[in-house]
Amino acid sequence: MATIASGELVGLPLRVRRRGPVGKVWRFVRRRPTGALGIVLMALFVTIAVISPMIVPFDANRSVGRPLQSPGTVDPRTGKTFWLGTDAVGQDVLSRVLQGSQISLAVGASVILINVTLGTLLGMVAGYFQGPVDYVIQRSGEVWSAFPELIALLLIVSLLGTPHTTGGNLLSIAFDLRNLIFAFTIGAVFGGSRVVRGVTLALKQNDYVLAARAIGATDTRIILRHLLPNLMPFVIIAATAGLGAVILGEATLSFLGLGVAPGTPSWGQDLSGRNRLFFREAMWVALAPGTAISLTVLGVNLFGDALRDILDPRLRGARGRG
Amino acid sequence: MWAYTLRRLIFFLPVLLIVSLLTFFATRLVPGEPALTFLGQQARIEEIEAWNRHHGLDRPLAVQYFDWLGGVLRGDPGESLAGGQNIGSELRARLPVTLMILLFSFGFTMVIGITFGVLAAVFQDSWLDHSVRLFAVFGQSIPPFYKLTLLMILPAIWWEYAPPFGYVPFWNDPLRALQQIIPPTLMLAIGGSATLMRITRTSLLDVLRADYVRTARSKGLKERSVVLRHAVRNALIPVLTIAGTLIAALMGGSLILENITSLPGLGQYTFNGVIQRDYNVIMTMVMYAAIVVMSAHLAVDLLYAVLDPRIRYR
Amino acid sequence: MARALTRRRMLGGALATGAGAFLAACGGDSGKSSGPAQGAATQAPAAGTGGSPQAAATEAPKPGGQLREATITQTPHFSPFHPGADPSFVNTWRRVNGYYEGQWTIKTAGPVGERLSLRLASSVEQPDETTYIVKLHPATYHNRAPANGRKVTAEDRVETAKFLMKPPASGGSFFQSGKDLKSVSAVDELTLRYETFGPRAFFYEAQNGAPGYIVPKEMLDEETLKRTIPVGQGPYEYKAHTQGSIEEAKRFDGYRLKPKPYIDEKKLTFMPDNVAVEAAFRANQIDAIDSESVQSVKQKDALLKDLGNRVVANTYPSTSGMALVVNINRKPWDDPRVREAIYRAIDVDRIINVVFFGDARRSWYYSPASTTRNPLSHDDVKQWVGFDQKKAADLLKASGIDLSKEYEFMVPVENQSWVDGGRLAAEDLAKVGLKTRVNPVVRNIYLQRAGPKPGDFDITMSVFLDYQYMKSKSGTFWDSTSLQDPEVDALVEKIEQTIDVKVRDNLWKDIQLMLARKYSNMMPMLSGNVHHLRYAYLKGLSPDHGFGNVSAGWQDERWLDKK
Repeated sequence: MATIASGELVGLPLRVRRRGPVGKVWRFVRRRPTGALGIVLMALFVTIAVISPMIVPFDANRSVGRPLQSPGTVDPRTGKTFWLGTDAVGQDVLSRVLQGSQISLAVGASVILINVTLGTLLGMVAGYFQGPVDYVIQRSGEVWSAFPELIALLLIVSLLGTPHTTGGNLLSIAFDLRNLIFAFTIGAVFGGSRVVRGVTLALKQNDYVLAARAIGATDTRIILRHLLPNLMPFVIIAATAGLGAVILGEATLSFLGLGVAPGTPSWGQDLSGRNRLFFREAMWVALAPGTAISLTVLGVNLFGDALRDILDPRLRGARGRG
Repeated sequence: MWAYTLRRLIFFLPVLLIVSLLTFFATRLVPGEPALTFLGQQARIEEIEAWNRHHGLDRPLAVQYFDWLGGVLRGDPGESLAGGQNIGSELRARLPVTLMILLFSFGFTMVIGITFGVLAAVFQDSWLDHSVRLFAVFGQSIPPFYKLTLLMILPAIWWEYAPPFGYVPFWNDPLRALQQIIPPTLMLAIGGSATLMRITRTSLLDVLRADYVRTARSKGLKERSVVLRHAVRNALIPVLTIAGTLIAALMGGSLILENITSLPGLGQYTFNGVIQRDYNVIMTMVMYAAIVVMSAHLAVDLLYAVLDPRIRYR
Repeated sequence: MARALTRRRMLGGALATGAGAFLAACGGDSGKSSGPAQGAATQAPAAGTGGSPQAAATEAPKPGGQLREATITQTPHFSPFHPGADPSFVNTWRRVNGYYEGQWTIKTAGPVGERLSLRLASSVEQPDETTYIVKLHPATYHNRAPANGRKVTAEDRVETAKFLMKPPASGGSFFQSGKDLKSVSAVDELTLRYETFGPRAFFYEAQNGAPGYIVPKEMLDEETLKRTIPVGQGPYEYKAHTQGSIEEAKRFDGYRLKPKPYIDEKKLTFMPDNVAVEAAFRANQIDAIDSESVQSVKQKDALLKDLGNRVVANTYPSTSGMALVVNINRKPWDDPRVREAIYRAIDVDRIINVVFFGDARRSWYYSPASTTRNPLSHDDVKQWVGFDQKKAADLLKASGIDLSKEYEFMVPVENQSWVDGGRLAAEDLAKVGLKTRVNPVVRNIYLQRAGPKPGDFDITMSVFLDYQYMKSKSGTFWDSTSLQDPEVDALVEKIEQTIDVKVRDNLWKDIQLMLARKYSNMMPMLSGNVHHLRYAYLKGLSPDHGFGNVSAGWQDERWLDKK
């Protein structure tokens, strides 16, 4: 991450030194207000996903009140309030929205982790070794890229079955939803990341790589010590760009009936099926998960954009006409 | 360049073959009896056996595959298990619908993405830049099916309005067709245009710092002319790279759009085929999608060469 | 569309429409399962908020106009006799558009023994228990090749019936079992003679809907039927068709009951998403909307509130319902104590109130679908299966089964109310100590696992299944749904062979009690209501045939009160 700091310091080294941490944050907020908003939303999302089992007011998987109660109704039995109302079977909408973040994060994070790791690895191998290895990896990537993503996802989930989870910690949720995660990650086995391959090709020509090789460093060592750190910015960009897409993808599949199984407290699931038919009578049932997913993806995307601006070397120091 | 194109086209064949093998065996090796899906819970065993015989599903898998392959090579993709309808005729009827949707959503995406991308770059870091980006990213963050659902429900509740349902070919009633297609494709475009906008903006910023732009400026050309005549053209080259990916994404978007807005395109057909495990329909639609996606990638690469004289394919 | 698009969607309102996607496979026709409503419909269908249909019938019908309807199910070909995307929906469009006039229909309401409503048949006589002489009204086919407006003959029906006897035509077990229908022959140009192998109770039901249609004999070939424009003798003939989207029909001038039909044209639009159907109804792009898209009473109320007196709602009891099934071929479900515990543990009233907003009835049919004419009341069966969670817990302990084990509770996902109902049932089972894990699965996986014998499931849900499933050897993949009990088998066979409706009615009561006493592994829970809304200008619907555009028995009496 040293590159970021130096990039930021190029412009105004003296003034930055005079500012405290608060000043730095303020400067970031002023310079990149959308990025700051993204960070806030992302942090909120991850925090909620991690602590949601502790903060949900009701059991998200149980009918706890009368169906379709308006937001703010007080439950006469427990004295607790349904802040976002109840859904068609009397489940607390707020609890479901909070817990739904777990599924989005569990699926999103595992998919990205697997995809980025595999993609980077294969991309580096292809770029570094070139030759037949590169050829096989590249061609298999071309085969896979011929499948439009949504069709491939639909096909895989329809064959394997829709997974169901009742919650727990993020790891156990990810395990419950392995069919879905598999569908999103199988493509990563093919092709690797083109960007990583390209950058590896370029980096390979650098003097320090040549020097390392000259003193007899192994390929593994060169890849891990010299190439990987320089690839990190690209990997991070790819990861954030992918996260929003995976969260939306999970929701879309669930909407089509081929994501997580109905009843599972997932945002995409709560936006599909019967809930949409209650839009007139109980708008909050579909509005709450819809808003949650939109804000989360917004946060991820804004964060990703800001990160890209900072990390992308082509934009570093770019000030347009100025 | 012709040789290059030819080589790329020849490469289509092994890819299609592998794609077809993968799809064929993946759909059939998963346990299950498609007959039950089509004949239902009360079907008797004799009915199921007759149905399987009728569709040739009682033969060895390899025989079934070569039978299918032979059919495709003769230009006959076979029959749908659901209705015995010839898949070829279904494709011909549905292709224009999907093409219209792709055309409109692609067009809107391009126009919105490029226009606002240019504005955001020219007025970098201004309120216009921030708000345009925020709007685009926000548009991209709302799931397309949710946007489209709201597009159906809200006008119906508020004004008792809904776009005209029931597909009529464009030339029979252009006004009706536009009413059906413009609002939902515009919704889809808001999502796709955000990526495009960002790339346009980045690329234009890049170009604006290039030497020749500085030269143009120093010659005293008007800023407007510098941007529009010198910078934008070159800045658009990288934008093309994602056009191929965009087509693939819009095909997915079209599937959702067709289901929500009741337009009888290939997306609906694919989706039904997948949920019903209609083997031949799945095979055909995967092949079709693969061809479209690969052609889009090829077209982009070729266009790239046309626009950027530095690139030469051999 | 979740599955609904799902999905979800294929089952649509199985519970609500009653026709039930699961049901009616053999005949491929919802008419076949019209029976249970005959039990359910002892309450008269509730009239809507607007003018009742009976009142409308006194006005003079106005001719003309176009009727616009929508369906969420697609029919991929023209044949009325072959399965389409989903067997229960095959023929939907053809039936809705009224291309064929069958020999008779069976009303969904009215006194037992008076529900047969003759259509193209002018009379049916039964000289002995195994012979039926059916006379047809003179009628002509639509003026289109290959029939070109010629007369409908008994010979056509004979050939059609023979065609239905061989799969893959969906004739149902009556035509195809080789043990029910013996022969069909033409006595003269308009008289038919049906012979059965023995007395058969379901002669009429088996020919209600598509299996009772008459098709020109020149067309009786699978390919021709699927590809040729339908040629029938019904009140409407084919007009135009946009693949995958619209099918239009126009009035058949040669229809035998002049001046019917009143409405000039019909247009049916395919809309896979039921949200779109509701939007189209609100925008008055369609004239009526049925239970495929109005899935709950709340939705009906909202539509009534918003659209006011411009629309009329009709509610009638569903012909099917929601049942729990445990796999008789697996332990511990073969133990009657365990089954009794499940019966007693589930608070069905809570499911009705929560999932259905009170808009459903507790159901005690053990002999569902085309058979139930004499439903049991709670008092009849409460000594065996009444709600009693304390007793349920005791029974489970007494049975000595392993209560630490978690059993899978497989729920079909196509209709969300099923998933929700299943989850509430699972909560109740947990209360008495039986741990289950609700696993919602999509329809094709549900069918793969629940169907093939002996069934790959522990607990699951089903619509009310037809009578043959109570027999040990049903000839289907569903051998895990019957009790596998010789006493039950014998009684079912006796019922199938009892022609006298009143006698049969009492036997039905016997078998239901027997199944309750033996703790049938098919456990009825509830039966919902079907909601149908239409603009008030659409008149002439018959309450006896139900109001839904699919279940409506006949088409020719509707008319539009518009300028």
